[in-house]
Amino acid sequence: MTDKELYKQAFSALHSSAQISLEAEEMAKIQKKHKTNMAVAAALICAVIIGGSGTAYAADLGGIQQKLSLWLHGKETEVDVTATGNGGYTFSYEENGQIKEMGGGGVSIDESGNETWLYADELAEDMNRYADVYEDENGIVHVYYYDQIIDITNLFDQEGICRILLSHNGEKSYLKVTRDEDGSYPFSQRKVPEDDKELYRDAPVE
Amino acid sequence: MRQEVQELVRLYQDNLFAAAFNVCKNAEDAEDVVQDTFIRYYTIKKEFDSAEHVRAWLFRVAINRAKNVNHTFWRRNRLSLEDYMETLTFETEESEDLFEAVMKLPEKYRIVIHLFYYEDYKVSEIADILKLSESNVKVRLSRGRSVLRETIERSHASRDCLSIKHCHAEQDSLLNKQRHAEQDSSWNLKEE
Repeated sequence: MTDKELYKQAFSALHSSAQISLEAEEMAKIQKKHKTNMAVAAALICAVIIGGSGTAYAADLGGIQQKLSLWLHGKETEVDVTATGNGGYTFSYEENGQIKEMGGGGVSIDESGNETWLYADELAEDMNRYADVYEDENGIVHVYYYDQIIDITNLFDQEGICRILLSHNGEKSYLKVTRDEDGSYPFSQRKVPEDDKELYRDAPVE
Repeated sequence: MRQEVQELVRLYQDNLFAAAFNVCKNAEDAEDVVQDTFIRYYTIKKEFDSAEHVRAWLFRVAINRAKNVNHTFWRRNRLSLEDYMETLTFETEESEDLFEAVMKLPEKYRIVIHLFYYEDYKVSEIADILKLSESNVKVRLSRGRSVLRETIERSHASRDCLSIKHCHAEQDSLLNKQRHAEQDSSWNLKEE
């Protein structure tokens, strides 16, 4: 048996059991749901990356509600937070007269690799600490970072990469956004630049 | 050209799932990635040059999506890899060992190894899908193989130690030597 045959035999154990919806209407519905989920996931990206220095806490807050402040799309927004009981939280807030909800959670990882659920305020703090990148319906790509709204549409190089230096209360971080072929904008934000420091330009604040 | 989503699901659902699983090591996330990839295909207004172009695009989107899942660190009540592996049926013990060893590889090696060994992509094609240089793919492939080889050897050595405790040492030693000889010749991870 060749290596390829051995590998294929090993991975032939994997099968997708999901029922992929193929009806147009259903696909559109799922797409909407996925967009919401993706936004939530994006909002929670940092919650855990920074959580490396977090401390262990009891995971289940048993449905306790609290109010927290989150920076959403450049605006400081008051959100109602409800613990879902399994380490996650539901965040409700009002935007343009509509009540919106998002859910999620995060874990902190200690030096030994142990994971513990984050408190809602830790989650919110870390969510605030990281930028968000969105493309609007007109194709304008914005970076939202605390109260800053930065138009980066024309800051991508020929390889589709935009590098900017963010600053908030004297703390600097390096943001690298990649324009992906599939229309998404994956990004990384670090205190130490991922690429040559000289490639990062100061963020042009609107 | 465009292909029907139904046809793509039939052709690639399992393969995209395997590739996504290879990146995020979680079945639920990999299922989401597959659904999301087909939605992306369904909604994107893009013309493709050929069926192979569609296939490569699907893998690229699925791998990127899976990487994004990895970077979110968002955890649901997930089944651990070990628990999930117990639900899988492997044809041989060697298959299970290999699967486990691949899962222990760093992500950047895992996906290159998977595209090469499972999807039969050439180095140049992998470079195109992952947006890496060919030399980078070769390096990852080579290092991935090397780490994989070491992991498999360590796993065999550890199993040998255990079996020696329970069996006649002399007889085991002979059997192990034979087994090693067979394994060394069959799983040498050379580029084919």
